[in-house]
Amino acid sequence: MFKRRDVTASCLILAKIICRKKTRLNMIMESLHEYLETVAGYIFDDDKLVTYKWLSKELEVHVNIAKQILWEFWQKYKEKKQFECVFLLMGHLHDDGMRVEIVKEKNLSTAKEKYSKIISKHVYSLQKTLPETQLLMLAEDGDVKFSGIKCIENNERNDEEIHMFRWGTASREIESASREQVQSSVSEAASERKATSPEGKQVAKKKNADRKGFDNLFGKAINKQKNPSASSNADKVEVDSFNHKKETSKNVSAEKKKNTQKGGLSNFLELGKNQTKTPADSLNKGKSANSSDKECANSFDAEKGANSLTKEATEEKVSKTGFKQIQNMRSKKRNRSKETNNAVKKRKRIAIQSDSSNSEPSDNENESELDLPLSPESSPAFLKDRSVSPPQVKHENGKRKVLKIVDKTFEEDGFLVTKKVHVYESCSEEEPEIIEPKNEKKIVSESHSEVKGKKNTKQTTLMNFFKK
Amino acid sequence: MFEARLVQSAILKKVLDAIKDLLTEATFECSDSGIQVQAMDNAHVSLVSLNLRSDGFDKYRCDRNLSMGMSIACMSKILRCAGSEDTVTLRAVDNPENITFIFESPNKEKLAEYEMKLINMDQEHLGIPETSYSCVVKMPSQEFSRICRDLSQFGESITFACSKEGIKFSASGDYGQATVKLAQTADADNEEEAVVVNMQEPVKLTFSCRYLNCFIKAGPLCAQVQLSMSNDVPLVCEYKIGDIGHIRYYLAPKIDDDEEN
Repeated sequence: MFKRRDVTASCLILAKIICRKKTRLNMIMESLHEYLETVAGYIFDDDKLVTYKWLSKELEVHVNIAKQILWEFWQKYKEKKQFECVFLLMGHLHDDGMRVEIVKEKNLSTAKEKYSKIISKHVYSLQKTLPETQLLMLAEDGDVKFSGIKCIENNERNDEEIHMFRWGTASREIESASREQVQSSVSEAASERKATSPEGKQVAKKKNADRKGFDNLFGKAINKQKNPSASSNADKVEVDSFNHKKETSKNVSAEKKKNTQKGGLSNFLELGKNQTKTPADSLNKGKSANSSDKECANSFDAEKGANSLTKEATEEKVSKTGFKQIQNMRSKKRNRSKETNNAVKKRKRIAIQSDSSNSEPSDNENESELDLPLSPESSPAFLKDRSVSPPQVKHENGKRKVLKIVDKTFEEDGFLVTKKVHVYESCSEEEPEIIEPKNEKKIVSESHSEVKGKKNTKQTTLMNFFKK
Repeated sequence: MFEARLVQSAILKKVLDAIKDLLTEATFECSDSGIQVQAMDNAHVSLVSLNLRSDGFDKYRCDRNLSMGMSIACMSKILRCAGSEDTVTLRAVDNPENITFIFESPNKEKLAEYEMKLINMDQEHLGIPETSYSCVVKMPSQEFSRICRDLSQFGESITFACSKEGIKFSASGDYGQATVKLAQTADADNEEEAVVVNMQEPVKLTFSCRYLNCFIKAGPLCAQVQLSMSNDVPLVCEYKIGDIGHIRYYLAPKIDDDEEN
């Protein structure tokens, strides 16, 4: 009797649980429908570029949920309605390079051919029409609150910047780079300090710190890029791969992750060979005093093992625990990935000594366009004047000169005439490039004032002398 | 009836060349004594005074005084149609709406007639006071042309400074300074190449190159140019036109701004 009652009681409890689960499922489905409707509104009514990051911020959901929503939406409506879908692809290329790119749906199959293995593929954005994928840059960034990754130092670069990076750099930039290094090293140290304190309260802070540390990578990438010597594209790929690995890590299964790890490793080994040593580089590395140089390889292997382990563990936990915990794990994971980054640095250093032959893959050209390093915020001059097209360039006496339109003022028949003149100006340095025209004007105006100071003459008319 | 005949059309051609840069249109006053033109440029800085005496023409008839407004550009175009050896005849009726240019070739085999519409113009005759100038300089017109052209490359205005020794032209600008001094010719055996300075008191005047460069277009008319100057009055730049008349340019000087204030 007692037993039966017990059984019935347990049955009741079970039924309740099932019921609750069902309702929860219903709720989820309902909210999904709601979300899909909202997304439809964004796309078709508001004509928005709905990227997963933007959506996560807008709906205040995790980025991965946002991705899922977009995927559902695409699955549901791709036959019925007219809209464009952009995918993000990440994977290994046939030449052992890594590549992250966004492609339109129609180009997806051709894009996929480039990869030997695709690590991640997810919907990047949905929109009514998209003439240029670059337009997606206009879409708002995600919010870190929802695990959207944003790099503070990530600036869109204009043509001039790209030009600069492609054709060599100015001394000033190197200066700014070194400044960045100092900054980055400081922030790195800070992040390290914070990483050591295991308090859960500091999770949020840690996150920030981590991000800083992560951002340092970008700073370093820039430094490397800035060296006028053949800067390897591989670097950028590497950095990007890190960036995106994190971004999409949740999409990918643990197994896949291991692959990534391996691929990443082989990648770095390859890249290390390509690496050209530069003072800025070595300085940077010197500052990242996380580990000894001697046992880099060993420590790296160990780290790698630890990494994969922890990652697996976190993955498991993620499946079990709730959203908040995911965030906690994330922050830890970030710590890990930072460590791997450090390891990577060490790795590179060894490789530098071994070989310096530069074997760039065939589609590096493409890659460099996509994966240019992030522009430092310390180049406001660039951001101010965005040129539509890169200026015409000629080389003279080893100095690069750029064709510019300059306002020139001169006196002509007693009138001050200002004309736009095409002038080749040396732009070996950024500073004079901006100041020069001003100087010229100054000189002109000075000479004018001089002339006037000498003989401040005024033309009289004959009417003063002759009468009608 | 007005009719003026000039055997040498070249003279009239050169006259037109000498004024076409300064004037767009001008009133030609025809009287028994000859043809007179007085016109200012648009900025009222310079004035052209052209005088062609009736006795200088090969045939001259003017029954009534006429003032004919003519487009200088158009007239210049017509005169360009005349051969340098042609004879030119100007003809107009008493109350003219048109003026006719007749070009005859020396062998009389070719006769060209061009008719030009006249324009109504406001009378704007200035009374130019008779002045005795402090300095009167005669110099080869070629030399004057050369100096004006050269110095105008250095500045927008040229300063004429006249003293007993001679005349000094100077210009300064962004590139530097340029000065040309001409001394009075000691022995004037060749009248055309002589520099003669007739000075009561030294003068120093500044003039705009732009106008001077227009004046020197009259250089081909005469080997000598006469510059008459007094402080703070307009320059008179006179070229003789053969033995039929003269062309005089008046140019207001540039004055110091400070002085005025």
